[in-house]
Amino acid sequence: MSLLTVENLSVVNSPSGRSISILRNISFSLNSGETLAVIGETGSGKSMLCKSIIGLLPPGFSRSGNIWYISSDNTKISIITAEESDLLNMRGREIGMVFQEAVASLNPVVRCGNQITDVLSVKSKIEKNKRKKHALKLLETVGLSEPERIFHAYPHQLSGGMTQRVALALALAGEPQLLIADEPSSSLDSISKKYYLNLLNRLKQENNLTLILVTHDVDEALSFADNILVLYAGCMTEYGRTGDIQKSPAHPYTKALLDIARALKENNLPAAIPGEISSLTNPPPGCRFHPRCPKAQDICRVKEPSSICISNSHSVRCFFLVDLS
Amino acid sequence: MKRIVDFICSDKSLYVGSILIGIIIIFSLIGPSLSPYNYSSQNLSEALQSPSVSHPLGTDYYGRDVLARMMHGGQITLGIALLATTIAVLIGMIIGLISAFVGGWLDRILMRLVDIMLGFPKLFIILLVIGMGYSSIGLIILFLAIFSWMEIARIVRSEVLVIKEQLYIKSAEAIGLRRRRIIFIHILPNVMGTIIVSSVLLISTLILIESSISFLGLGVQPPNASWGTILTEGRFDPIGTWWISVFSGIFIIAAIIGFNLIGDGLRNILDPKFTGNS
Repeated sequence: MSLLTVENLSVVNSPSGRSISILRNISFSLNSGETLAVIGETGSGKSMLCKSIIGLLPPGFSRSGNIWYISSDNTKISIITAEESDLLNMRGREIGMVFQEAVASLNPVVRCGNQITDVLSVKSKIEKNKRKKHALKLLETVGLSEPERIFHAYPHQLSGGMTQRVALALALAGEPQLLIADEPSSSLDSISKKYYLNLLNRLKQENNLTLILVTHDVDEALSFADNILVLYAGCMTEYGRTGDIQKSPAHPYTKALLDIARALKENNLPAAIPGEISSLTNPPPGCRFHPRCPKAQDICRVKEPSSICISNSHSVRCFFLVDLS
Repeated sequence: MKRIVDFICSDKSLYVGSILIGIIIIFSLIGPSLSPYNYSSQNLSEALQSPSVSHPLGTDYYGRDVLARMMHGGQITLGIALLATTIAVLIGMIIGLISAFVGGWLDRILMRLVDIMLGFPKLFIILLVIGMGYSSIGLIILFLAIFSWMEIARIVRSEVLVIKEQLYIKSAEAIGLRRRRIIFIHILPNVMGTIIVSSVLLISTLILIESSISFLGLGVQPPNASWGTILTEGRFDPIGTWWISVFSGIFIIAAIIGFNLIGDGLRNILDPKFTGNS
């Protein structure tokens, strides 16, 4: 059963009359207990996708399309049309979110423990005198070895890896079904990164979490996710099961990303994709990837490719599929 | 208690200022119960005595002990300044918060109101109303408050506008905390430092204004005394009866310097980027 279904989601920002298309026709579905990795370069709209799912787009941005979510009491909720008060209840309790910079996502003047008990007081039914105990347990489950000390510490007294875990504890305090992690490991060094991802994986299995992991580390996505969504300049270039995408990437962009990841793994200097990501304010006509695409033909410069289903779980937007064999 | 002492000792101007204000507060609060004289009981046979052992600060025209009046005056002066500051900070905080959170036309109207209020010559307006004969301590407090909330409102507004864009506010929203909770638990404590600094500085401004009004004879009326009232009682013969005005003047200066030092010290501690006189 799909926990989250996104249908033709588009996000438009319209400052002073102009309309800038941030996301175009994103569709995917995510089964309960699975992990979706969203990959793409900086500026491809990954964070915007997260924010539109949780309903926290900045003012001036509008969504169209549909986002369906099955809540824990088995009702189907349309996130786009839901009342703000319902969304407020859902956040934290149904959908949790972890941000990229954990230090900045914790209040600097409130002790870590109090931030967690504060969320518990709003988002769970735990009695007042048991909240501290529960908060300490949460800190322990996210792999912090001295929960009592961390409970009383201010965020600036902790290291980057520790605050990232406190932020995770905070997101898990309301026991959400779906956790959106927006580049949670990008500010960590490579060892804490591995550790953090293992932790995420463990917590996912223990709590039966469904996970949306935003990352620009292709390798991380391949080893961690069940499904992969590749975004380029706000367009969904390819979406499918991790195995399918790894074995037979259909879009030239996906193929280029995988080649780079492979080269990095083999300690070779990867060949960069030529050019820069196309700007969202002034996107090229036709396929947005065509200025950088090695296979671009005349049709790519005028017509936008529509979504082609290769199999029922693998779709791509390209006129010339890389490898269909 | 030890933490408070350590905190105060961590900055030199905070330390000096706290001692100064501490002495003044103890003097005004505990002094009257130790003094053999009442601030208002007249004894014309002892009028205009210069400082001596029985009257350390001398006596005034009606034979009232100046020291006893200074102690009582301290209560009135500090009381007026503290109460008016509290009211002004409350008004300023509420208006600043509303302005920053609601935004749009309400923000524009409130900020223009602040501009208008700042444009008023406040001493003149206060003198005008009180000079029409409506003088009472309550009215003075109210007027001082009404004419001094604007800067707090501006500070709160600008700070809140910055803080509400911080990631930890976004993440509080993502966790689904209600707006009221976000304001009171996550935003206000972050603004508190700046509010405290500017309200301590406001106290000393208000002491000065209250003393000026009382000096002009429009503020606190006899037999009640504020330091400004006592100051004005010595004006008929400033050389011959110097003790009346000089001691009250010293107290006014000491209180203002004390609060300014505390304000500076707190700013040095709370704002590490400010390197004014540290």
